[in-house]
Amino acid sequence: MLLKSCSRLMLLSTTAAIAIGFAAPNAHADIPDENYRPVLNHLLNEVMPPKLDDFHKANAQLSTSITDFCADPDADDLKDVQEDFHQAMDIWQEIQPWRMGPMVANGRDQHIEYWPDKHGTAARQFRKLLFSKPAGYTDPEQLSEASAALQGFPALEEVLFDPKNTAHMTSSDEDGVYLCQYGAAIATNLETIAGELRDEWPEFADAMATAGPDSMDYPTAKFAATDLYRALHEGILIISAQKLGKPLGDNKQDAKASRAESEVSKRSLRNIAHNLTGLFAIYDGKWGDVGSEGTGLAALIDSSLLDRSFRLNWQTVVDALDGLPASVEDLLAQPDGYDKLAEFKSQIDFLTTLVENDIGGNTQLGGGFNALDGD
Amino acid sequence: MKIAKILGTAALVSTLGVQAYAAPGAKDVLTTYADIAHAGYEDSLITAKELQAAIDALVAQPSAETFGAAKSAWLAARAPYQQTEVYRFGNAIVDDWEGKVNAWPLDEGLIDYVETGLYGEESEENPAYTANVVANPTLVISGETIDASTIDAALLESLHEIDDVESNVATGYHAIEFLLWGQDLNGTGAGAGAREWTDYAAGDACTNGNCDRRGAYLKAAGDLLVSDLEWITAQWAEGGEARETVLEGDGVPGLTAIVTGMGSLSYGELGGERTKLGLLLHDPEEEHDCFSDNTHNSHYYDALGIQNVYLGRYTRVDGSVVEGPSLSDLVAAKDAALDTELRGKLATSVLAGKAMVTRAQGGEHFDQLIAMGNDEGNAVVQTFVDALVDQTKSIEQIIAAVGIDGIEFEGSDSLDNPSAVN
Repeated sequence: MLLKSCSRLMLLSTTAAIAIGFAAPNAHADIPDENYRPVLNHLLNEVMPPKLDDFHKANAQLSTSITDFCADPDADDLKDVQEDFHQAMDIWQEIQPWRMGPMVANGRDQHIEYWPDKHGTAARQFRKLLFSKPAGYTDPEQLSEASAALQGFPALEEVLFDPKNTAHMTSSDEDGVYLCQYGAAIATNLETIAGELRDEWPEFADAMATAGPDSMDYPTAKFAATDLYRALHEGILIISAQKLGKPLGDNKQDAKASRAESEVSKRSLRNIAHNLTGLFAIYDGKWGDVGSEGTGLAALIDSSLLDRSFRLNWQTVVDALDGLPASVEDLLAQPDGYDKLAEFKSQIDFLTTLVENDIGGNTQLGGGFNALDGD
Repeated sequence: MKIAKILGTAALVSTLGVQAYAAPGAKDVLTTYADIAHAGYEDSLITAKELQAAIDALVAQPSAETFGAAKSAWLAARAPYQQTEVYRFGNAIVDDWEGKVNAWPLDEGLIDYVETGLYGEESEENPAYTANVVANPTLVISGETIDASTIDAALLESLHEIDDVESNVATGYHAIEFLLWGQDLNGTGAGAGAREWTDYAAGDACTNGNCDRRGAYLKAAGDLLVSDLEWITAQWAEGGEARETVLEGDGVPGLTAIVTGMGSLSYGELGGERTKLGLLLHDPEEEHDCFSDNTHNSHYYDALGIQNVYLGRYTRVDGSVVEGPSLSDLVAAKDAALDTELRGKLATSVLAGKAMVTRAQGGEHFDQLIAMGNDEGNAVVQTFVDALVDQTKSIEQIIAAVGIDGIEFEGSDSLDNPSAVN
């Protein structure tokens, strides 16, 4: 089953490669530097800003919602807060792969979501926090200076979805009062971070879109566009290696859902669906109601066949994910869940190959270092 | 091996004390690269043997003096080794081997007693989290009984990364570091691990029990470190596999290894995993040399190692210099501005590393620098991260400048197969 579906996908790629007669990037004439500029301008100045605005609004709603809940906690209101958390996370997971400029400056993406937590730091720090209940962590401004593991979505997820914590909150005991105030501080801090991200983006976008010899950071438009390709490539790698590879483990016996992202709120695969939306926008240039088709990296592809093939393969993966539950835990609970998850990872890995060989080669943007380099 | 005093005819100009060579061929550059690797690992071996002798003296005659001498020898041994870390990424033979000597971070409860209030008593991911080899002649890990009555090299090798848990570090520099310093229980406050020499004392003077077994562990770990370094040094000698690999072919794979090593160490590993992460989490558990509070030196020598391979120049522990045609010369011949830019950025990161060393010499170590609320200290560390990220951008531009683009970094785990290095 696994081999069969992979073979079908690979055939499409091979056919495309033969049809357009490319074997290696060097077979193409250099793409003029000016060709990269409209792609940069479109993606960074037109497509991304409305999404950052949406992200800020979603966090503002979450902050209001949890503050209201804490004034008079009950189980129904908690569900409303949890739903607002999901809405904010959906948008975050879409923009998360755009790792560049203000998104990563001063570790901003890590402050929004510190994950994966390879050394179990969040759990250790959260345990100490609840033990000592320092007042500073209920103040959003002071919280913004704290450990990244204690101030973003994963920490808020622990507060809002871990049954032990929600029981405290709805009963308004000492721990519950503290958790509520701490959770509200996290949401307010996230709103602030989202606002800063939205406000800092235009300057970065302009710098990228006007790349040239006068720029220290981006001497050519091609060099700037490499960040977009890298985001696409790295985003796919992270889905494979971290979001799927970690819970899968080495084999069925080693599999563990708790290693997946956002599994406390049981939405690890829902995250990936939104990742794929944001990643495809880098390629296509259209993101929901924003932008227009074929104006992202796709505009640099000189073969309509390759473009169609890539879109078809991408849609195949999206369709496969649509057939899976929202969480790895629920999937692994199915008798053939492990195999389904492994098959889905193999499909993501094939997308990685296409991104590296077809998109990286045809856009002449492949190579470079990424955050996964190292241990 | 080329020693500075016997060179000269090829030198054209000298800037910043570094010889420059007219547009060298790739093979010349790679020969220098291999020469520096061999010298660096040989220096690591020399200082590890001094550490081994100091450990032997401590175990034979435990005292405050022999204990202090062993710690000093460990600190000295770190300087040359950290300068070789730039060879790890890009050279598969090094990457496959290095976990035996420099694996990090570790769950130290595998080795010896720990303060469980701070450390915890169990880990969901690691069944050997508090196995405590020193205290237990028989270990039961994941249902398997292990005879640990004799602590020797074979036992340590069998326990290293047992159960495929990377943090089960039984060998190498950091295992020895823990046995010499113990846990640093000061959080982000001042002070390193405070193990007493009496943890190795005989008879009633022994503290924390099992001093003879602790000494046996320390000696076995020291002996293994030496034998592991002997092996890697031989790989970079004339005819060694590592040297032959970088010198084979048209030079492109070798140049790729240099650039991959410089970029991967700068960005994902040193800039990210070892430095930025600690700053983001304000957590002393995230510092590289966390028991001894020697992280400032480890980071500085890592940065220096990156500069060494680019400039083709390495100062050995005896003060002699190994140098030759460099990647810098090759880049300068293609794009002089890029070479100047990268030289400047490498110097900036080395200086930023030196600034952390200076702070440590003044009593403020890495774990204090990353503390929440220490804005000035945080800024010192952030400057180091920024410099490493900035130099990575210029390192990427080398790829096109020296004509190794389009090769997709094949054979590099750190670039092509992140799951293998995460």
